[in-house]
Amino acid sequence: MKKIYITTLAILSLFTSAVFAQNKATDSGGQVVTVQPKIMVIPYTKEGEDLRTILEQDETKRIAITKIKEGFDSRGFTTVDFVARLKAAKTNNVFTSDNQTDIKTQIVEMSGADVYVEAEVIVEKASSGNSVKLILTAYECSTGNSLSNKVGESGRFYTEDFNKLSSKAVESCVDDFLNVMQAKFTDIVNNGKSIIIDISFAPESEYKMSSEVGDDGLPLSDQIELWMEENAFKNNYHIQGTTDVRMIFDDVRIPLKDQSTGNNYNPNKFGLEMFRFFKNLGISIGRDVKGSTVYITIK
Amino acid sequence: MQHLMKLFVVGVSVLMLANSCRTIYPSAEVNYLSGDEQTVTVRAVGIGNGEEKAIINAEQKVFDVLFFRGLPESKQKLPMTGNNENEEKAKHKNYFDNFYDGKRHKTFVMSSIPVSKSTLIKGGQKQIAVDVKVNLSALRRDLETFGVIRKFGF
Repeated sequence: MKKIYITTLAILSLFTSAVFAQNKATDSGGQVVTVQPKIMVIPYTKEGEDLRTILEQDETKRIAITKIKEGFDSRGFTTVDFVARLKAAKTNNVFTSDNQTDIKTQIVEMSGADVYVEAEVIVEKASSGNSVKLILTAYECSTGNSLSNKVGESGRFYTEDFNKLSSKAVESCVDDFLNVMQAKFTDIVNNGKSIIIDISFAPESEYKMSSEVGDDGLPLSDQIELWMEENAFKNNYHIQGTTDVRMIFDDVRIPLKDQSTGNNYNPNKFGLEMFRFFKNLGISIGRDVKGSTVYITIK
Repeated sequence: MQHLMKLFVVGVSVLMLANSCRTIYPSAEVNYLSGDEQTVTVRAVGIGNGEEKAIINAEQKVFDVLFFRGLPESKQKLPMTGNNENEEKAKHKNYFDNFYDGKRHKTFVMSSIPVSKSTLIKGGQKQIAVDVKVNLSALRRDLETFGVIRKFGF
């Protein structure tokens, strides 16, 4: 009897390890490489400007964007190529609207970029010489947090070579721009990545934010905040607002690495923790993750 | 007469000893001259026992400013490693010991040209102004390779 019991246990443990063991083809031996942010450099467009043709027609802008990407390359960082994405979007008929702002948003969303850098190139012609000014801004796509802002200038020269002026304008500020961006990245490594948690209710839901839930009978919104207080990285979170039907955390910090295993951590894993929390409360939820936003729908 | 001579020698020795014990405070006499994407040229004032040591001091001040203070007007306005030099030096002791004491800093100095005559200052030390050109991109890569700073990104 004892023999059968031991044999069964051994078979079970073998089966379990076979199920959960990592595929040998992808086993890195425990090495973990930090997932890097995806960065895309895009041109600034005014209202009504055709984003699809603006780069093709304006070589000054193309040169500025290429020089900015060169700056990233010199730091050993590969950016998402905007032109390639634009072409892919055209091929796949991604664009559904004539509104240029929408197209920009669609490209940013489609690219899966975490950060986008917007470059505005301003050409100035004057009798005292021509110049190019450049406004560089980097945003976190999900939260809109500004990561770096710089203005570059070529200086005035008696030349019509705006391409060269554009290069000079980029050179004057790109290093500083990248240094500030890296300082913000280091802050993210130390203090966590910012994500948004949007909690709402399904139309047929019996719950509201004021519903008393859990063993201690606290309102649902307070239960959620108490959980967030314990689980946001370094207790760092901000509530945008709470109503009876919705609660939005516009800035919740999560670590880049799982603090216990050292593996990469992401919004989806944080969403899973939230799922467990609601399950413990006896509430079933729907969970969607889009970029760095977690949508929770209470059923 | 011999007694007077002895007294004179002792007096001079005491004075020299007092002067040599005078504290030389660390300074940031490093001013930006020019630079591009990969290099930076600065003028720094160095102090040391003899001209050679004064030049090395000037060079090392340049790296101190780049690492822990940042250089205004240049493209490296932010410190490359961090503001707290004691913390950074303790964290990466081997790297900085080798960099300064092992004179490894020299491998990032593209040129170091004295632009003033060395002058004798209080304490019998020499002071000299030097134009130092630093290979900034190689320095950044080196800091990244040895894990003193993070590579660009997370």
